Amino acid sequence: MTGIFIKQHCGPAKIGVLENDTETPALMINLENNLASRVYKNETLRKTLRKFQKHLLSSSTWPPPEEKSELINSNVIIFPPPFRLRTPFILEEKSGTGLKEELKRYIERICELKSSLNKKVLIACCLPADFFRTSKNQIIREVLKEANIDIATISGMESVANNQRRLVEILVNARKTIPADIAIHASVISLPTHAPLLVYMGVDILDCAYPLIAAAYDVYLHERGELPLQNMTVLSCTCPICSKYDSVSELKNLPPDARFEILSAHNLIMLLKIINETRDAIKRKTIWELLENHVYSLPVTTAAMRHLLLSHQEFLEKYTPVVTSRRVICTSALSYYRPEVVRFRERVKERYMPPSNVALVILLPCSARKPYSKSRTHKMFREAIKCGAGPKFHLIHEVIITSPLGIVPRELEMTFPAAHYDVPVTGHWDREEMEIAISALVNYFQKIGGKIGIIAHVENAYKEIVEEAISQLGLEAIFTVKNSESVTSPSALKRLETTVREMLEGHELKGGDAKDRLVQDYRKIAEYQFGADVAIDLINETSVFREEGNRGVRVLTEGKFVAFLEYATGLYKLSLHGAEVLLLKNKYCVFVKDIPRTEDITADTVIRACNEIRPHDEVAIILDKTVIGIGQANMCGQEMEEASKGVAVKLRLMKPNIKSRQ
Amino acid sequence: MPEIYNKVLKIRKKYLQKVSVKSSTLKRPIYMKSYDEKFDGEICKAIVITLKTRGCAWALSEFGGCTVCGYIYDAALKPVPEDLLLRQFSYAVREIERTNRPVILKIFTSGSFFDEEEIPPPVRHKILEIASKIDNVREVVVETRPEFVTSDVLTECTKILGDKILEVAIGLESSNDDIRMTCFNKGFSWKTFLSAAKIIKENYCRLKVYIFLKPPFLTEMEAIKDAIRSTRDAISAGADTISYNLSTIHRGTLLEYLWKRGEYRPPWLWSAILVLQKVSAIVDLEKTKILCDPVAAGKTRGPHNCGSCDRYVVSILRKFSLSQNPEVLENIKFCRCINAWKAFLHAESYSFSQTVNAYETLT
Repeated sequence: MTGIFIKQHCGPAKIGVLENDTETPALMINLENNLASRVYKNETLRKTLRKFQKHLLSSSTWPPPEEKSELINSNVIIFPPPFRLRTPFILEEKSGTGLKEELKRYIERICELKSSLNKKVLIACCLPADFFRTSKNQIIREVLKEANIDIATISGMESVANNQRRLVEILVNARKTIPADIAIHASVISLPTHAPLLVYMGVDILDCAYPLIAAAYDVYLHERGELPLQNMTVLSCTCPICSKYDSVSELKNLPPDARFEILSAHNLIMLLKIINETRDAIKRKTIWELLENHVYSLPVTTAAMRHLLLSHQEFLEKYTPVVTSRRVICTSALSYYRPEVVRFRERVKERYMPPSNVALVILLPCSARKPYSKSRTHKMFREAIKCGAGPKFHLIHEVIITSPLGIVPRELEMTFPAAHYDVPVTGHWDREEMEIAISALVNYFQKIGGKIGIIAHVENAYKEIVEEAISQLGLEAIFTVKNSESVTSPSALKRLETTVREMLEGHELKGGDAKDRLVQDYRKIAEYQFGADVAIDLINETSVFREEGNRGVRVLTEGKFVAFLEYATGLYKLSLHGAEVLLLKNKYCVFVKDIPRTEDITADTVIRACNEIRPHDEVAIILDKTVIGIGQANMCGQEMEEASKGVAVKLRLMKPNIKSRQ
Repeated sequence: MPEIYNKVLKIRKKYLQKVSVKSSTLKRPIYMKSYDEKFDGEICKAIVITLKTRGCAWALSEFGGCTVCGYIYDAALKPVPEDLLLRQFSYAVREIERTNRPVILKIFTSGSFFDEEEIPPPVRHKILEIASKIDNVREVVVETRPEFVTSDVLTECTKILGDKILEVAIGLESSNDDIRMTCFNKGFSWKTFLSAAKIIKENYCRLKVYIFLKPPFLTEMEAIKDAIRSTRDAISAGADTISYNLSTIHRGTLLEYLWKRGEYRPPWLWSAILVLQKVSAIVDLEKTKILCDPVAAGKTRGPHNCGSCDRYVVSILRKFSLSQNPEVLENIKFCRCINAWKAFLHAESYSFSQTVNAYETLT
């Protein structure tokens, strides 16, 4: 067994465990040149660093230098690529056969080495960054799939540290090309400003090269960047190295060799700190918040992040959990394209259909308190609407306009991330968020089709959004808030009530409509979560909904318990009966080889997994064409198929009376 | 054959077109220079003359020549009449006549002295004959590709030279076939070199081997290791003199193309010091001469350190070449760029790419 054991994902960033129990993201330090150990010849420095050693991977290159056998101490061997693979010209050949053969020979030699070594060492192959800028991906992927290697080192990354487009292109392509169970090491680009972003793009290992280079040039690294020592005025760092010095001048006046020693130790600790912070953020699912803080330190990282969000959204979305227990905090303009947020908008656009038999659409502003209906303003709106509608309430569809989600139909207001996001509210909308809301609204009205009564109980920017959306479609809306009024003023609320009453006049009440609307509302959540075809079988006219305290709602269809709607997440947890529906539609299914013995189903037992599966999705576990259990996905479907290690699914429920096939 | 020669050929053709427009005189040699060098225990005057011939056969071939060499652009590119070749050589004779000191005469062509297309046999005979008649000439050094070394030619040459020693220099660059073929596009194998070396030694000539520091596509550390290994291999093949060529970026070469893209950096002078330190520890300096005379040192196109210590380090290299005394290499003054050099060695061992040197502009 080789490679990386995937523990959890937060976007493409992941926590993994290497063969030697090192948790990634980790730092690699090269012992071969003895530089690292030479840097720490000072005993106190060494002691300090030992504290951090847990996340240092020592490495060396093959073959080891003849005079010493330092190889014994290292747990990673980077196998130098053959010279032909280093020339950019090997990529110029059209057919790529030369590349394939050379790569194959290289990987074979590495595998031979690995089997010849008795010690447990990790083996890294080295692939030039240029390889991931060509159409030769397929060749590389084929060769690597067969390979028995642990780490893929992408060489020459330093040359794209200041080129946001290439940086993103290379790393995204590399992650798509390199099989999921091979860890990625991005070489010599471990700048403190770049590290969290690199990890977010799927890099597992960084190295200690940059901190040492910076130290050699008297450059002092800090959390958000770097500073030449001579320009420093205050010694702000309190790391165990720096705290020994009282002032910058003391540091500046050290002899050059000692200064190099101190600076490199400090720089290394700083980088370790950033990596540890990143690892913590992945575990706590707050990597986005960390990134939003971090990427703004340099134009190039900000640009890289934007480029990543705008051009590679589908790559990010694939690895982003569908639900987490964290609030979705959107503090900057980058958050308009946060994968969770984009996914919500896309699913509302593609999976969600407005309910049928609706006579009146009411557009409302969002509220700070979530879910909206718990807020003071929405309580007032609903009271007015209910008063106006009376028994015809089910003919109304309430839609909330918000940033950056676009629109939230009332029935999805509890669904993650609609009840879980937090934005800085100022009342000012920028053009980008307005566009997002307008296009969502336009899409919504297009789906309704034809003329429909529209009431917009909104003010300010919301009003502009509604006006622009309806003018694009040639629709008409009644605005129930006058310019001088606030949405909660008694006169506006009264106007809302009377307008609702007037608009619903003439609409006949039919028996069963109210029940039908209730079924639809619950089905919309399933539509959002699983798609329309699953939703229609999961929840139908026979469905009964039983509220269980404030935990959620139990759904029984045709007398059988199929799903449980959790209030906390606004998403369904399926029962085994519900899982049957997934199998029937061949969606969200994971096909396994054998009966799982523990509650963690590892990736090697997965034969096939549906492509639409995302981390934390509800999945049906299928063995021999029958449902044997239900669980929560821990990877995306593609990764489950590719990886040979790691937790694919966390089993929640297993069919009783299933015996092992052994 | 590696894909690299396509690129080399393309660059070569483009540049040959450029230079063929300007025609220059064939009456004077390309280059002439004299300096001190140790020979069998005494300090001699070394006189180097580079004759303008048709040009290196390999560089003019359909394989485009070596990736690092741009000397072909100084060549005549057409056969040079015999009388003009002799007229060029007469400059060296005049130079020798001006001194009473013992002389090492180095006759180079930036190609192969034994290639009859470059130097026709009658010219070769005449040149050697002239040299043999000058008393204070101790040794004649010529350079050639190994495929032109034959027993017949060498017997003939030694016969003409009589008691004067003939040293044949071969640009081996590296003893590793992979590196020589892929990184240099050198076009001859270790085997070819060995058989040439054997012929040279059988004819009681001396063998001088050029080793290149640092080849393109190698990291600085790999280049250092390769130079040391090549030295060992060359000495076991019978080399009497090892000369390290620290790379300079010639115009119109693949090396220049890589350098401009930030994918090649000429070696640090510290690397040369390290190589000499390691080599002088394993080589018997009484038997083998170790030379290192960097060209364009301290310039961006040549081997360089940080800029403030280049002159000093070059002086050390020269001192060692002249004295052959390893003590010269000890107690070298510290410069803060030693740390940078070490940091880059470290960085390159992750990256296997010379682009790490982009960080050299830090601060």
